[in-house]
Amino acid sequence: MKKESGTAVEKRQSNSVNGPERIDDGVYYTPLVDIVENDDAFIFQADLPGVKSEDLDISYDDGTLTILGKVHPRQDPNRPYVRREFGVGHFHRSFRLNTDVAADKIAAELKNGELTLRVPKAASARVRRIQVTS
Amino acid sequence: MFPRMLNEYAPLYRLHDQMNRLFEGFFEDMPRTRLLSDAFPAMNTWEDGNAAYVEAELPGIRLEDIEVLVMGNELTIRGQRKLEDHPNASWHRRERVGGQFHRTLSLPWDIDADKVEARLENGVLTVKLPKSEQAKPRKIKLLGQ
Repeated sequence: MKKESGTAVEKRQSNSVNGPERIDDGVYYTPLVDIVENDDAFIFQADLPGVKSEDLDISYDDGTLTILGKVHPRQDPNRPYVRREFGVGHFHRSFRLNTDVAADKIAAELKNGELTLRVPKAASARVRRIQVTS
Repeated sequence: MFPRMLNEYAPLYRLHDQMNRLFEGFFEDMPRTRLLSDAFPAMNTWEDGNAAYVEAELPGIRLEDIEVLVMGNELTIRGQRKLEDHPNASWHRRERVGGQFHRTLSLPWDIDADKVEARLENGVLTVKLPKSEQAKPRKIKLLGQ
């Protein structure tokens, strides 16, 4: 793992983010995520293939943003793969935000298996551009 | 690595994996090991007696950005993923990858191209590839003396 800097820092839930985590109701994988920050907000974009909007749960609690997407099995378990190149399971990932955010204004959109999450900064944390006058 | 892989598929996949490693090396730094192949897109394949089913994860790809082609015993998936540009923003993490992809998969038998069904739902592509009539086993009537 690379050392992270900045204000959006991944919160590690287990001692490894590499392999799938086994939790009671199946296998959980770590989704691929892009995070960008602009003056007003953080934008998280996550790949959640196979997740329907009703199976997506996003929560923010005391600085921790959690993305949880459930994936229903798509294949008859009695038919083995003749070739398997990826694992199918749920998606789970948490991030620690060290910047105050407007939690009630977090907006999520899920389209074609791609989640876009806009997390606005609290007014106190926004960058204010100061006009320099001479 | 693929304990359930049928031997008849193995040499075909190997050839195409070598041809299609567009994203080779990219996933080495990824925070998981769920991808068992470095070809893109990764595909899971299963079959019943009449058809093979191929599934690929293509999140963020729209219908108009992907083509599914069938010829003979080959399935080709090609397309392009456009990732959103974020000008005037700073990146904390960049794990996803955009760009063009192209992958061909050979089956051990000919595909009935007229009956192929492909669906793209929630970022998952599923293609049903029925066997051509010639490829299906036929019961031969035994003749006595």
